[in-house]
Amino acid sequence: MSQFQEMIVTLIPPLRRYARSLARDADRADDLVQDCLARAISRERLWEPDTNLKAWLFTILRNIFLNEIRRSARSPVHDETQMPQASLAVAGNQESRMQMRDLQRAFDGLGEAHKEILMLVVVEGFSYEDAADVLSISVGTVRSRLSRARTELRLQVNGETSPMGKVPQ
Amino acid sequence: MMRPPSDEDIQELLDDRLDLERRGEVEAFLGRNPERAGEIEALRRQDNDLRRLNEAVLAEPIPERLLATVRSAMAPAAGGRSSADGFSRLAKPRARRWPAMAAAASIAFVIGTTAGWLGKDTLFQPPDRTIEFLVDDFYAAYTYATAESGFAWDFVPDDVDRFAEWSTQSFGTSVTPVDLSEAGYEFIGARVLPGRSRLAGLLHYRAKEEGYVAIYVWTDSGRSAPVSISLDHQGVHMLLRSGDRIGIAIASPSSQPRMEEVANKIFQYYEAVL
Repeated sequence: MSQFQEMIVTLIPPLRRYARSLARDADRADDLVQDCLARAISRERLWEPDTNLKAWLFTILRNIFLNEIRRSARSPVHDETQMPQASLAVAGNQESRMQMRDLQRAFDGLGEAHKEILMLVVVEGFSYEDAADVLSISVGTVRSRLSRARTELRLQVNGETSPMGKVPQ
Repeated sequence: MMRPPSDEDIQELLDDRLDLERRGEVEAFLGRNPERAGEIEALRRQDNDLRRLNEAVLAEPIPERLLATVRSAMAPAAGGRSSADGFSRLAKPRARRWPAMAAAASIAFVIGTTAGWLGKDTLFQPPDRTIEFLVDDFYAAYTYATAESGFAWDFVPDDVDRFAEWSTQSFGTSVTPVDLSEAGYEFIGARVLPGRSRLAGLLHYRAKEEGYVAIYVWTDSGRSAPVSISLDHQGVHMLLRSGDRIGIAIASPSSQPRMEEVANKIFQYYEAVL
């Protein structure tokens, strides 16, 4: 296995996590990751070694997902039984688990744009610049969208309604 | 005079992006405004909880099919199309089925020993990972080739000499498409395929009436003994046989009649190069 392939393998877990947040179905998410991996390998020559490989892979994966959505002209599949039930796996007492479940529900209730920005910056730790590249938006938009997403999530957790509502998709 | 922190400042504070000077100013402001500081702290806790919420998937084992996709990468095939590109569209099993396949293979072997092509000096070995991967790869390639009307063949029928050239270079022995016209099949094309630490080629035939037969050729340098396996996998009947140099596998729909007759013809043809 080449060094490039080895680097890609180490990034499969975060790719699967991001794919699940997009597809909301574990099998479909792995299909996305598989397509992404194959495409990345076939386009290895297009990746510049000094740039962020993770951001490059995330961009590919997101583009594949968006293309699929456009092709099928339907919303992302939302199968509750296949949703990543991360909150159920979180250790802690009953109250803590309930809080995490509330957070999961609130997160699920966000608009896709808000979920994406939180996944990329907060969960995956992308810089604003890399997140902007993945989402094809400006760094300023990353900042403002992040602010609205964090506020919206907090309001949802507290059972309040944001005066702004969901960000248009 | 210090300006109050903007929304942007708060985001950058939470994401640890503020420069030291501005960070000091913002923290000083929050020190004087405990209510605002509480709001920021709540957002920070929310961020931490969100990260915890999404940790579980990182600990899951990586599905073999994803690792296999990375391993199966190889240089672009003739015609400029990457093999990895094509392969990504093939092997998307919803679940690993090898234990069932291994059982099926064992059963099928018992049945298969009566078939002519299994009749002499062949040795059945329990399915190992090499054969598992092989079956997976062949099944994926076969399914893709039969499902895709626009399948991009690297070698069309008029171009079989180039396939023979490629096989000579890749396998160390010349493999040409067997003529199955008497059995009612016409050769459609050949394709170079990715494999796990091996090269492989797919020869595809279409029945003049209905049905397909695919022949998978692979290098078999890693095996110490010949293998013969017959199995049914998801509606596809497969026969695998390997020799010292290469392996030959055949696939066709399980429902297709005359498979044994065709298989015998194919294995006889390739006997000399195995």
